[in-house]
Amino acid sequence: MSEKSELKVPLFSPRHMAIAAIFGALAMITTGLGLALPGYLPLVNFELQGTYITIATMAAGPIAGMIVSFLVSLVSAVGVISFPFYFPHIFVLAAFYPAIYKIKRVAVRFATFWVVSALALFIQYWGWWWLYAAVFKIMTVEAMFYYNMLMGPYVIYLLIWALIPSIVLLTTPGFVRPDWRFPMIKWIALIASIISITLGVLWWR
Amino acid sequence: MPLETWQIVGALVMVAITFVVAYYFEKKRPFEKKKVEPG
Repeated sequence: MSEKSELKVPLFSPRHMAIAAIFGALAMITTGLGLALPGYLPLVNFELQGTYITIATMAAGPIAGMIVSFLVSLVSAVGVISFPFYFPHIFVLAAFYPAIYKIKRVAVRFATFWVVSALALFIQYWGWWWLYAAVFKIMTVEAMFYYNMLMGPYVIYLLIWALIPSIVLLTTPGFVRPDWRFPMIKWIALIASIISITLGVLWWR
Repeated sequence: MPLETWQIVGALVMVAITFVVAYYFEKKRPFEKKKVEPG
């Protein structure tokens, strides 16, 4: 057997499947039990699934992140319609994460992880604002933008999506080693980002 | 509406489980295909 085939990185191995199942279950339990921070919107709390989606994506790739997002959407207050709206974040993180992981200096790796998480969350947000404006008709994208970006929710969601995953990256780096691959992830991340932002911009008012 | 005690305890338990799972997968590397030595 050649060394190349021995080291071939799987698209989705049994290990990746186990990670997706475990973190999908943890996310479903957390959200299903209502372990969320109150006060985001009427009838919508700051749910904590971002933590599990991020860790699953880091350790087992975007397929695992998508599986977790689908599973948790089954018990989320927003409903199953919400699961594709996590994808832009998953793809942007997955596009940059292998490069982040290779950064030697721990402080730089840590800081870069937060910067990419902040960027991915901002991109993801536009699709969600569209969902709340166009589908649920709670408020306009413009109002959601100013409320989320200037009045605190963005910071709270960033903490949910990045705090515990960044501690996991520091404390158990072997677990979140990106031993996965996903074809054309950078292009897919770019297309998902364009779709998310375009939806939000088109429904601005 | 303030969080109830069981919600705070529950969230802390979930965080603890997350780190336990991470530590287990770090140390044991379960579900991983063993590297076969040639020859």
